Amino acid sequence: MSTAMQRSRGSYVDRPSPSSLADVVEIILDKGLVIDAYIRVSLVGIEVLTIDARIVIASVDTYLRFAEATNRLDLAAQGGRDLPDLMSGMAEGGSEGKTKGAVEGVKEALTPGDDDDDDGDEDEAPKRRRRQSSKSE
Amino acid sequence: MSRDPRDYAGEVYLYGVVPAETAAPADLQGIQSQPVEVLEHESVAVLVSEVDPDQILGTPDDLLAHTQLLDAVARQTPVLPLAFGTVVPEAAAVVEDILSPSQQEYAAGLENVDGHAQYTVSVTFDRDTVLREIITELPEAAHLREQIAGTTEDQTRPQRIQLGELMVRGLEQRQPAAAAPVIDRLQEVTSDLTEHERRQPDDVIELAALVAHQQAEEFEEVVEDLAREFHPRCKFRLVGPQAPYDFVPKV
Repeated sequence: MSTAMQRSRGSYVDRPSPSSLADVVEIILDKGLVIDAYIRVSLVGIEVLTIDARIVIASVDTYLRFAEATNRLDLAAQGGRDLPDLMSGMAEGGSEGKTKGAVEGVKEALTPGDDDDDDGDEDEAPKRRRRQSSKSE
Repeated sequence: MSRDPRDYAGEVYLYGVVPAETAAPADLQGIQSQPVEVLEHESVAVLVSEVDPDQILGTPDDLLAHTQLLDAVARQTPVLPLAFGTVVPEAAAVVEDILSPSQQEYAAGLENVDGHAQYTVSVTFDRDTVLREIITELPEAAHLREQIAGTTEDQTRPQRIQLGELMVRGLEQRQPAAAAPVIDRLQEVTSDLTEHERRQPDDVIELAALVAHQQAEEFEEVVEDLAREFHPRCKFRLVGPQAPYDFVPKV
């Protein structure tokens, strides 16, 4: 198969192996042709995994989970001098252009030098080969 | 090589519909480590294996064997995957009840996926980034967070539920705008696109994409470009190429 080129380094896309059990359960377990008249053997032995994949969005448990995540986030921000610059930059950014700010921040962190303030050029040079060559700051 | 249905003694497990004269991959085993065979009927065929009644069927290994076989076959020839766990009581029924009555639909379905593979693109919000974004915009949420800080869940359960609800709503409100450019851009490099149900509040979108082999490289580059553009606010995950599980006809 010639399609999957591994772009591990420098890629922003997580590309797991297609055969991991969690992916298979999530992506294909209920898919495919269904021939109604016939017995469908169901998956045994990984109940936890399948239940986990079907959590209802609007539930008290979900709310508590996100409240806790928000709570933790707050604590991290207070004592979090070790957070990357881009994170604090984002938090301080206020409501205007947060997204842009975050992207720029990361670009700065990941891309030394030349193309950090020009989106147009960045788009025309998608391979970003420059990064490899000049790893110095 | 197709076997005669009368050679089968018991139940038969079904993997997928393929064009007639497709060879079963010799190097791959099926469910319960059984050999995979082909049952043909005129222009279509189905990949099958015998079920061993003395072994459990439906284990995680069986699910992996099912998908690994279909993904491998899909690299060589069009295939319409059957739902995992499809078993018929006797081989004769495969031809009489399954292949024969829907032959036309299967042939059309196979033509539709010929030369294509499925990719699944999952986009989620980076939780910390977006929760931070929401909290800076919602004084009410910031206030609740202050009340909760340093308390136990029992002490502030109502406030926690309220805060969580606000955050979940904030994520929901941001979801359509985050999903739209992903759909728009992927539509340009795919033959078909199906949206999966969202499971979590921080899910942006999950799409199954039917991608022509000659467009695969372009498709992967678009996914990469999107991921770079929306980093760090969104995280992208790409699975594939796989058999076209989401692009089968209804029969």
